[in-house]
Amino acid sequence: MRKQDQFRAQQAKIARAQAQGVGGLKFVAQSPPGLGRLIRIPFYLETGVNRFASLNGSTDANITLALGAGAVIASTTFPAIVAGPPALVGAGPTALLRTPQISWALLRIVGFEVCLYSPPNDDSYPMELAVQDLKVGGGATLFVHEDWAPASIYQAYQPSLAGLRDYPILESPNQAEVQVQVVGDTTSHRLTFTASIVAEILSDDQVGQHIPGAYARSGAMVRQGGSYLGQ
Amino acid sequence: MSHELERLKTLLPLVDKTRRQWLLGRIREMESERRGGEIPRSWLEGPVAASGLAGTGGLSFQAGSPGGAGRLVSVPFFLQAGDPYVITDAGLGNAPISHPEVLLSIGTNNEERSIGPLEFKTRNVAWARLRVVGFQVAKKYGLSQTDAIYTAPWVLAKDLRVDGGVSLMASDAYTDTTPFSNLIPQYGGLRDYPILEKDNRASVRISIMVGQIIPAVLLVSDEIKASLAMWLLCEVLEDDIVGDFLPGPYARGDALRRRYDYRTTGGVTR
Repeated sequence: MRKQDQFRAQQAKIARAQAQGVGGLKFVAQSPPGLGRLIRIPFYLETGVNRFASLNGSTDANITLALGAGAVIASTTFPAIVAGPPALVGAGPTALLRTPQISWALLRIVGFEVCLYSPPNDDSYPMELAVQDLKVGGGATLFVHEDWAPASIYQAYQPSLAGLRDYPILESPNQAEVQVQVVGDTTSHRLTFTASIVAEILSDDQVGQHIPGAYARSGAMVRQGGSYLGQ
Repeated sequence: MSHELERLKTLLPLVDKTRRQWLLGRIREMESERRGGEIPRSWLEGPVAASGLAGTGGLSFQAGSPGGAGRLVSVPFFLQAGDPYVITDAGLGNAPISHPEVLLSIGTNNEERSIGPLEFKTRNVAWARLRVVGFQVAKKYGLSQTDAIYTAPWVLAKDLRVDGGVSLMASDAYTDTTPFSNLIPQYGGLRDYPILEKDNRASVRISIMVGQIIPAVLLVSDEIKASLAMWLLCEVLEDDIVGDFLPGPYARGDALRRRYDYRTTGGVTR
């Protein structure tokens, strides 16, 4: 090959690599995730527990009662929950949150997310929210931690979603559930939060069957071995 | 020279695609030199520098980019009816005239912690055919209350629909809009990316909740004051004035392909 031909071949390769003229710099725009991907399904406080109350438009007096021990406020409509300080210093009671039954779709769970707001601190201890036992139906917990863990691990506003042990299917009538608890002082300020699972819609009765994101396709679900239960 | 050549050839299958490209070039150059027909380096300096291989140590750099013409455009929602705790460009309690932002005063409603439900709709975009690809919410709230220990207002949404279509959110009940915040780099997901035709409008129902502790004597300064604006993220498919666009990859035909479409086969079997 002549020298000039070699040079032309070299130039063509670089052009194919789209490197010419940009100095190797790549430009990237954030993208919507695609239809049916990374949707959020909220958890609701279906059953009332003292010191937790769904924010459902109740009066201030009623919520104050529920955050004491005088009443409970549950909701299957409003996902925002207010948590009051524990009766004694340390951990408060446990609340069980559930997602609604999604009868119109077959979903794959790919993440868990908490949106948390603690009021600005003054002279009291800040209260922490903890989570445990994220489960689908009667399955194994999807958290790696067996005990409680700070909800901040799963907090929104982070650049990426925290990992889970498995990406199970969520199919009606199964519901996902998670336990929450606060740790604080009796004078800590109440905090409010919402929790949701992040899911891919595999099949939707109304809009069709979606193709999930790369992280939720079968190639990404391959395991080296079977479950320990079979060994 | 031959030792170095052998070393580069050994490395060839072990490196990534970008490095392999560079190694191949270097190997060809060395082989050419061995044959006595060297390619003048000055011929290659420009392209190699442009490729970003020289001097970057293998790092690649990315910069944020605008979406491109007609991509990720925003179509604001407007409040449909006045509410006593809402201020718009038309004043206290009135439906807006031409501004989509609303100001909210929460906490004085006989000690109720909520406003809503409020219905918001987009206005007709008569000059374009759009594909909805996202939803965003901008929320601000005051931090100057003196007496109250307050919390952020929670903006909850349900029934995000285009015309009479299905809800684009997964839950029939209210959903927290925090994942749809304009301050989060990622976009929240939707069930579908429907077309917003010229004479169609999108709608959403909003409730705002706070978990505030209101002091025994309620003062005007103890209200939670907040502002709220919402919009749809859309791709312009056809524009009467500036022409037809090529949407972003997430909104092109292949990205919208379904395994199964109820409209052609009349139902889903699992």
